[in-house]
Amino acid sequence: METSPTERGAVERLREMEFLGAEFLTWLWWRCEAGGGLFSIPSVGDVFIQFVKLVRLESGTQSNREMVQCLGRAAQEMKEAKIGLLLGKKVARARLVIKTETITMEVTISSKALDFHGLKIVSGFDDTLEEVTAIEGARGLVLLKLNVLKEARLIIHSIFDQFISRRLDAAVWAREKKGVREWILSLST
Amino acid sequence: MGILGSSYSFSCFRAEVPEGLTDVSGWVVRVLSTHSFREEVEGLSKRIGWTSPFEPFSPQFDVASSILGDFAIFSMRIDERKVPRALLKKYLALEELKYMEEKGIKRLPRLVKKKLRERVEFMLLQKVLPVPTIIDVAWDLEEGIVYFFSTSSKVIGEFQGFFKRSFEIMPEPLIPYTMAEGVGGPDLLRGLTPDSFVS
Repeated sequence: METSPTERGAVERLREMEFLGAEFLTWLWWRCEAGGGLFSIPSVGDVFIQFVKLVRLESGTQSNREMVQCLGRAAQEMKEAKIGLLLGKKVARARLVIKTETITMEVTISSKALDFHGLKIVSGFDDTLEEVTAIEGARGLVLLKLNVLKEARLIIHSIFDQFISRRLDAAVWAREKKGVREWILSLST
Repeated sequence: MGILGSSYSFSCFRAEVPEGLTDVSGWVVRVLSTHSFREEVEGLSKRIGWTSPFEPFSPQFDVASSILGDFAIFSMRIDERKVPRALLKKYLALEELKYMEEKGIKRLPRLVKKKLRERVEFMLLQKVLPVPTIIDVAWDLEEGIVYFFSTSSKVIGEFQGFFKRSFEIMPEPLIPYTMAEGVGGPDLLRGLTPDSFVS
């Protein structure tokens, strides 16, 4: 299908702005490690986030992209990923544990589209609830799970909104950036 | 894996229900019904339509059951027939030979070659079984958010186009740029460039 110049312009703009996702995930890693990973999410409550198992870092653009991917038991052990941060790479993909007051889930988030990969409910999911069993067959269970997915989306998108508000305020961003830089530099010691 | 699985991969889109609708569920059900998957028509290499995530291969889509709480849940079904290249090559070569013998010529004009290719491909398409792809969709009608259970850009393109044709709403992907634009507006984003955390 042919694309119009306007559409091509929009696609280019989307590509140019892909860096926002990588900056967000890198900032989020800093908030999780240096700031304890606690977030207050409207209509969800307090949420605890932790980086686990997988981190992929990238630098450069399409033609000269460099990538490092680390698989570990916990983010604290991902020394090579942290060396990548020191070299100026940013997080392109990360596996997160998200804990709300009732549910724990695990999901991989990609920086490019902020889409959700392999979301699993780890604990706290009660499929015997009355509102589930009241609906016949698989439909009740589907509704309950959809509400969990909705919560996961609300959490990630709400934290992204928090990030972008800071990113677009030069004075606030300068302070945040300083914090991220100090954290990254501390990883070398 | 889709809505019925235990592990979920999905992309999110904004798609607000048109203002002023008095019966949103009824409207969704009607549109789904109009654009529901119909079993194949001879000659088409690809068919697309909405179906049920619970019974995706049933010829009857019980559209009323697609409303669940605030959500409309349905699946996009794409049945695609593809002729393997090697098979096309073989039968095209045979047809070309036959044509040249009949006409007593040694080289085929380009236009004839093209027509033979189309004819052979059409003939083979009728013999190849369509392969179905089912991708679940959950549309939160209250929030105006669509959960599409795939992260493949190719399938996402198909979905956006078919959703637009069906509901006359273009689902806008919720990706960093569009979300940032929603928070700061396009003016604040203009001129924003990648920042370095280490320099």
